[in-house]
Amino acid sequence: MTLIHLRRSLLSTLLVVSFTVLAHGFQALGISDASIVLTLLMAVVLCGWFFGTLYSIFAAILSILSHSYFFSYPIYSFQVNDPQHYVAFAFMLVIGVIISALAQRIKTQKKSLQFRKQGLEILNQLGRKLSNQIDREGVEQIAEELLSEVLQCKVQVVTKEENGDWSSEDDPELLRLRVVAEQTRNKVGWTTAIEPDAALLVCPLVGSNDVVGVLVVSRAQDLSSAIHEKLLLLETLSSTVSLSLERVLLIEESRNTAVLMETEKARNTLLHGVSHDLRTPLTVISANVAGMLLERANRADDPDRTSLESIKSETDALIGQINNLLELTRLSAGSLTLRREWVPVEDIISSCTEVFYARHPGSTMTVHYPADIKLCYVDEELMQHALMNLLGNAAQYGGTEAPIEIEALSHTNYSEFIVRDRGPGIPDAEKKLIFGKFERGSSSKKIPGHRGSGLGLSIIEAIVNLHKGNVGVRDRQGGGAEFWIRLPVPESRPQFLEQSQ
Amino acid sequence: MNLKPFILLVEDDPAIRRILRSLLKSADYDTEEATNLETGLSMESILHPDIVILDLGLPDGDGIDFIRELRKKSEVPVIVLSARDKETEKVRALESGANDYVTKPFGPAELKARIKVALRQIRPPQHQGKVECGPLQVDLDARRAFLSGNEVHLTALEYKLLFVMVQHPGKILTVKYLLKEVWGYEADEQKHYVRILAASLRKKIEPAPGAYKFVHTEIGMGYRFLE
Repeated sequence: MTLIHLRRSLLSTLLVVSFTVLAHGFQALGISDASIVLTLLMAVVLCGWFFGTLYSIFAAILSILSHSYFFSYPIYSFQVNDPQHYVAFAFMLVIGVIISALAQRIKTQKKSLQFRKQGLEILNQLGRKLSNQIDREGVEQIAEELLSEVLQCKVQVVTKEENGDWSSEDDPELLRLRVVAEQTRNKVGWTTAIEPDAALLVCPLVGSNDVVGVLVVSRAQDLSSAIHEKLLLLETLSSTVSLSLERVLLIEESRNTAVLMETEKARNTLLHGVSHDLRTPLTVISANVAGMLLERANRADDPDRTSLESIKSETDALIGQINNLLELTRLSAGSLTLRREWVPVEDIISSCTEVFYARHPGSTMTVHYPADIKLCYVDEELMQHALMNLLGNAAQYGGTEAPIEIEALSHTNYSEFIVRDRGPGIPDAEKKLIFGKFERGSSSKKIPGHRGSGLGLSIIEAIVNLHKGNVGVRDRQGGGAEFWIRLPVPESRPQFLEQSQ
Repeated sequence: MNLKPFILLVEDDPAIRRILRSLLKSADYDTEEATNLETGLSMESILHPDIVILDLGLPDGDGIDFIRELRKKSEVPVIVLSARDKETEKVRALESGANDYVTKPFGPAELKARIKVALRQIRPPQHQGKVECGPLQVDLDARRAFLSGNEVHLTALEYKLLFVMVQHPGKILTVKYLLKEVWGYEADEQKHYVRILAASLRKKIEPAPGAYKFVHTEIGMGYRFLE
């Protein structure tokens, strides 16, 4: 029997005694019996109000005894003659219990309301303080401080690193609980159904999509009182913290992205400017040497001729590479406006073959395209450029042994262009890589005298991407490589009705 | 007496002038040079060259205006030289009356070929009689076409397109120009009419697919009819 119980019993007894004395006084004044009962009832009510149901029952019993001893005939005995007193005693008991129950409920509610009010204040404060934070350390610190204060125990905020991983965790229990919390998106640990014996309560902080962190609440002594409310409060507060955390993480990310974009833009501009400045003097050199060569065209054994030819071809190769670089920068910068038109595929194919034959006289090419007139929606100069690059590659790697094949296909939703060669082909590991800037396939190193900065394929990819299409390479049946370009065709294919006389 | 073809160069860059001079001399043409547009215009009206080679990048004015001024009084074939990244300039030049274009840096063989093509164009426009281009014969009076003796059945529009092309052999005809000549339309939205019509004409008069003999596509520019 604890001190509180002792004290309460004593006080209840005292109350009953006091009211008995009072009732006695009333009786002496001639006040009726009913009022006597009510006076004693007062004691029961007071005990129930202040001390609880148990003591209201205790007080009720004492009052009944007191009444039967002091006030009901025969006096000074516990005998009760009048049956109406039994009714009174019964109701006394019942009323006492009811009052005490009511009292309890009111007290609990008051406590709960107070707690809730406090919670709202804290929420408000948390919200205000967090909205000022612009980095994750600030959010963590504020959250930990306020939550620890409110919940009256140690609260820790653990967030993910920038790369999406958790920082390595020493505490095995925390690690274990955190993994479960992240997966189930639910609280785990003490007070929950999962791992109720753990010393920690881990509450996941969920942003709009991902888990951004966890709240770790260490078990404390007196958290168990009003635990339901405290957990509710924890949930509300944790969602505020999640949102703030997500906000600062997004700020971090967008800052990084902005920096990346600025860097990329700056690099592109620099590359563009430098390439331009490099190209101009090279063009002058090339033009002058071309003039010199032409002037000596008729002189058969000119000793300088070979040197001049060498200068010209090297300079032209450099100019070619710089042009590629410039084109790539223009394509990447997105400053190119695509001039798309409905073009018959054979127009593109035929102009490519014409240019190809002009550049590689004596070579042959197999050409396939649909028997009907099929249209594609493209920027024809860019597409010609892309296909010429593919044809040039095929000529370089495929050798002139077997003819190169170029084919145009028209499907319902997309147009396809294919260039086939009988070269060494592209190994599977490189099929994706070769489209990267400055990448050359391993087979290119086997070709003697090969030139090319490796930009050709990345230019093709940039052009195809501008058209929202795809490009790739696969093995050709029978040996060699097959490069394909697929371009989506918009719904609104034009119809053309001929008028004939 | 066979006069050597005489070519006027309107070019301010001495290196390019040097190349052009050597090139044209080696092809047995006579040349004269102007270093700016104004001199170019006056030289043309005095000397009456067979061909004018004009660099669009001249500092003292707009090459397009030069062509327009020139076209007011002369039909002399004009070949424009333009820098690689001035795409829209080329189209404008062709639309204002230029016959052909060469991008700098250019290969000597390419320029020579274009000059030859332009020289062949020097004949009065023909509206009557027959035109022969290898296996293709066009009877302008009867409005019929034959390929290696067999008649080719062309629709009215296809014939019209062929007719326009035959009038300007070797010259690059822009899609816009053809649209106007064949249909009378000026809007850009109907450009694909020309493309489709040219493709269907080809299917009928070209002997073999792949490299076309007559109707050549000049990507980004238009079409060129070669004999």
